[in-house]
Amino acid sequence: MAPTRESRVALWATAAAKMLQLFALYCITVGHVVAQSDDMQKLWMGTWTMTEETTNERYLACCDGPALEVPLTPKYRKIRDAFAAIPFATREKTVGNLPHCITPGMPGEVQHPLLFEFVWSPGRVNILFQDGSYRRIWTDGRKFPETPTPTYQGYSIGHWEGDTLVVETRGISTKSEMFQSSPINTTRHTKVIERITVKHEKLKSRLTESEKFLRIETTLEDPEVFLRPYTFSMTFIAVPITFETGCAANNRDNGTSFDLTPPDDD
Amino acid sequence: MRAATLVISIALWPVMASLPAYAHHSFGQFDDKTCTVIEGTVKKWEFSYPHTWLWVIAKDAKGAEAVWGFEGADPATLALYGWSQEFIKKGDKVTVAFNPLRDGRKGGSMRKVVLPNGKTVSAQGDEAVFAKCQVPSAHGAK
Repeated sequence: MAPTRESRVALWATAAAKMLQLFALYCITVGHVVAQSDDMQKLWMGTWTMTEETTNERYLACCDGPALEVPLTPKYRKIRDAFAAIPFATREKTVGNLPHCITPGMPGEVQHPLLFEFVWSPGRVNILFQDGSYRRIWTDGRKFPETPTPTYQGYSIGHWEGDTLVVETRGISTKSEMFQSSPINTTRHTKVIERITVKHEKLKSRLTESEKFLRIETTLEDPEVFLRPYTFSMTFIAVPITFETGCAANNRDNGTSFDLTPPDDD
Repeated sequence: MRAATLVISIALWPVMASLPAYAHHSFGQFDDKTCTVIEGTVKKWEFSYPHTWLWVIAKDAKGAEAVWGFEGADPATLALYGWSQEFIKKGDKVTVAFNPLRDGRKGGSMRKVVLPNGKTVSAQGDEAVFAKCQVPSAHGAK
């Protein structure tokens, strides 16, 4: 009996699905190989710091100065405006998690000018931050858990598109910072998409010239906070210094007064 | 070392120029309308997170020697300007321009530092941070 039109369509659909599966497997495998190559890892290695321009942009993004065009919903626009009305120098204390030595969490973590570095392990890319926080980005092809336990950094899954690491993060705690030091936190709906690349091109920021730079294009999705997905780009250069993690070690501001106890001599 | 403390009144800098290099905390505890300059000897330089701290042994206006604590920008920002843990050493003679603490204690927000080689460097990143707080040339600034 000749196959019906419906069965032919089903056959083609199955074949197409298999091809897509194979292509996805190829991408993951090739991407993994590329990511694990010595040259690639060497390019991504080093201590990264935010350029001055990006630092200022992210500082202004939410609440201070002439805010960049962030498509906030009316509810969050009101919160932003009330905060922005207080001059910076007269605020009793800066909002956000860092003054308390608590991790900003995602997506605020990457919007603070914190030094960071990449550490590679099989099926996973890790990012270590200067404040002692770290992110795990799974690149082993796994799926998101159905109900990820909310955490400050969220649950991140990445895949390679050529030399770009594409990362999606969900399951973010509602205690994480949406921006750098702002009164706006993430919600249970927050989703973050990052496209991370490193270019072997010179870039100068202030007095430092780097042989390479790292760029992160971030898209924030959250129907409660944003009217539409909000995308911004950040640039980082490599600096020839190492860093020690930890915040509480020398956090001398308790919120109302500085601890001026001199440190011991070395 | 001869103590030299100079208080310079300065005009309020426009709001747009009041962009801190990094806002780990409020700068409300510092008097950003006053710029104080002091000379001393480095006790310790902490290239630490969340903020850097420079500790200087200096004499106050009455000639009493004490340790002063000055907060600089975060290490990530200062790294762009060539600062590191090795940037300043114990025993270095330095001149510091700073916005003093409002409570009168010996410390403040470090703005500019004149290094032993006479070079003046910003301790907050951008020159336009907060008010202009400069070290006069009489204190060795180049």
